[in-house]
Amino acid sequence: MDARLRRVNKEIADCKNDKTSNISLELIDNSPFHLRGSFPGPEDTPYEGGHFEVDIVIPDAYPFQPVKMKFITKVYHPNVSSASGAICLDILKDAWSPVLTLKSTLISLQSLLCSPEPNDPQDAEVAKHYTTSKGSFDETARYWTQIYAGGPGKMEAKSSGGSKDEVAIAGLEKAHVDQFEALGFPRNKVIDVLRRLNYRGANVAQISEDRIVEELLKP
Amino acid sequence: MAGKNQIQKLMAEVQDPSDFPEHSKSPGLRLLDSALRCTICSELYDGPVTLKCGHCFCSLCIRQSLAEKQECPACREEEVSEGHLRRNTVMEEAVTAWKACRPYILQVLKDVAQHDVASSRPSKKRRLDEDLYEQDVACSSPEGAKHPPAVKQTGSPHPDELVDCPVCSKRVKYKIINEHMDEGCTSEPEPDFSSKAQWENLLGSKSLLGKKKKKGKERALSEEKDDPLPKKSYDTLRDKAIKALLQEHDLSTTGSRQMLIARHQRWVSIYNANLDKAEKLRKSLPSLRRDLEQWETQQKNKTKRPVVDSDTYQIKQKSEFDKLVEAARPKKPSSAIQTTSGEMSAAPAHVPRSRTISPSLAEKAIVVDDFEDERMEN
Ligand SMILES: [Zn+2]
Ligand SMILES: [Zn+2]
Ligand SMILES: [Zn+2]
Repeated sequence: MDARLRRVNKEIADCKNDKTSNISLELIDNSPFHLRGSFPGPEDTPYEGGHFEVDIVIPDAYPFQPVKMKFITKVYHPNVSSASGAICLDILKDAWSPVLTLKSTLISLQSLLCSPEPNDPQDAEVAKHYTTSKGSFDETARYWTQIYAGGPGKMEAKSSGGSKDEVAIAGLEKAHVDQFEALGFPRNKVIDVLRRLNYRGANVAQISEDRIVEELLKP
Repeated sequence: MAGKNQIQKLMAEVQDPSDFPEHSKSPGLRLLDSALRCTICSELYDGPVTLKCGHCFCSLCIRQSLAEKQECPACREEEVSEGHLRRNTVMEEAVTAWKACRPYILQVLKDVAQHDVASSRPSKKRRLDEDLYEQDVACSSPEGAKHPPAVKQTGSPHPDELVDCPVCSKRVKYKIINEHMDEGCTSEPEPDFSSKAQWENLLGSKSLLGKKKKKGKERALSEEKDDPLPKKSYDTLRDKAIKALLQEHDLSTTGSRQMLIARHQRWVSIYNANLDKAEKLRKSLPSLRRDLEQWETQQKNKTKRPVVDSDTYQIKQKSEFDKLVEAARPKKPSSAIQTTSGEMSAAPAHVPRSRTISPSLAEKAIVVDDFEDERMEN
């Protein structure tokens, strides 16, 4: 019988017994090697109040090879892919150590939410947003926490049901989107281009309208 | 498939520090149990060895880790190799003593807890405990037998073979294991003078009796039995040469070149790790060969059926997993329903290069638990 199963079994039991860390582990299917971890978003961050779920796959060579983790919950963060949930974190790669545990790794993810590393990004667009206009980034991250992670927010956003605010999700200003939509471009294309160009904060002054139109005209 | 011996070993090893009540109720016991465990496998140290930095691991665990990365897993001191491993005989003695008294202490704690329950509002307290058990996940039958059921399986050991008791970890003859457990692990395993190995143990390895009876390869190995096997660089070896290396130790020579190499590498690790144990705790060569075979079977199962792809594999693992949880459950003393975590909560004490987990954070996680407990108690 394998040492990996024994260790994982203890790790799960340990998480169950530990009521103070707020980290939880559950089985996703019938395998103890495919789990769902979750933790609350850290206080004093745009993720506060959210509940974040992580998909965990324990490889054959665990604990000598790192555990595989990615966010199930959509997270707006420079080190997390906004599309796939993939995470850029050293301990999940070459800085892994066999003495790390599922719990300590999840705590690391929690603290990654506190301290983004935009210089080593997983999502380049989100990282640009973070470095150029922190205020606007925080707002977007908070909005994502609200709509995807069950975080607290304005009533209107919550009651709007299926129709989420695409402009807010992209971290853009409604006025900017309206301005280019008025030129006859489809709204979703405008959002896409403005997001890619990081048309936010101080960057707005750096990007000419011609440049945007040029992008919008590309097929 | 897992034989009875394996399942029993497993059950024995599902013990962890949370078997003991939290610090406020029995000061230090959890910390002690935790301190005697390897942070790689989370078991009580098996052949403990120390690195230059002072960190200690099971010999086989750290050898496996060093094969991936030449650093101390706890403090990340670099340029560590197997040559730096030093036997930690004092730790080994401490673990041996702890293994002997652990079940006794658990029993005493249980008796005390039962006495407390009996003398003060018994029904209420018991209900509380049961409720807490219910909350535990994957715990299908908390009111299981006092001892884990001894499962009859094919491939059972010989009645006279010594097996690890799943409760107290003592070596007990297979044929009396059930009675031993039923008697609450009080029966001492009787010394067995019938086998050659026992005589040799008793008289020491230098004895004439031991030497005379050995011959051939077996003798060659026993005379140099404290010499570790050298690591080979397989790149320069032909298949035939690798097979010869395996044959030297009576190991199978079937399979692809890759398998031959993996087999030999694992053998060297198992063999050398065994040498890091006190002589009386070492396994016999046949038993090491069985370990190797077992390992190889596991490797095959893993590569054949990756976890995410196969439902049947998952179900099989799940049932083994449930068995484990079930087996672990009844052993916990009723008083030891804890809010604190055991040693698994301990993130490495010091992981400098990692940007997110700081030593202080890891330590806080443990300390907070203890304070939390005390606050709730007061
Ligand atoms: Zn170990
Ligand atoms: Zn170290
Ligand atoms: Zn026993």
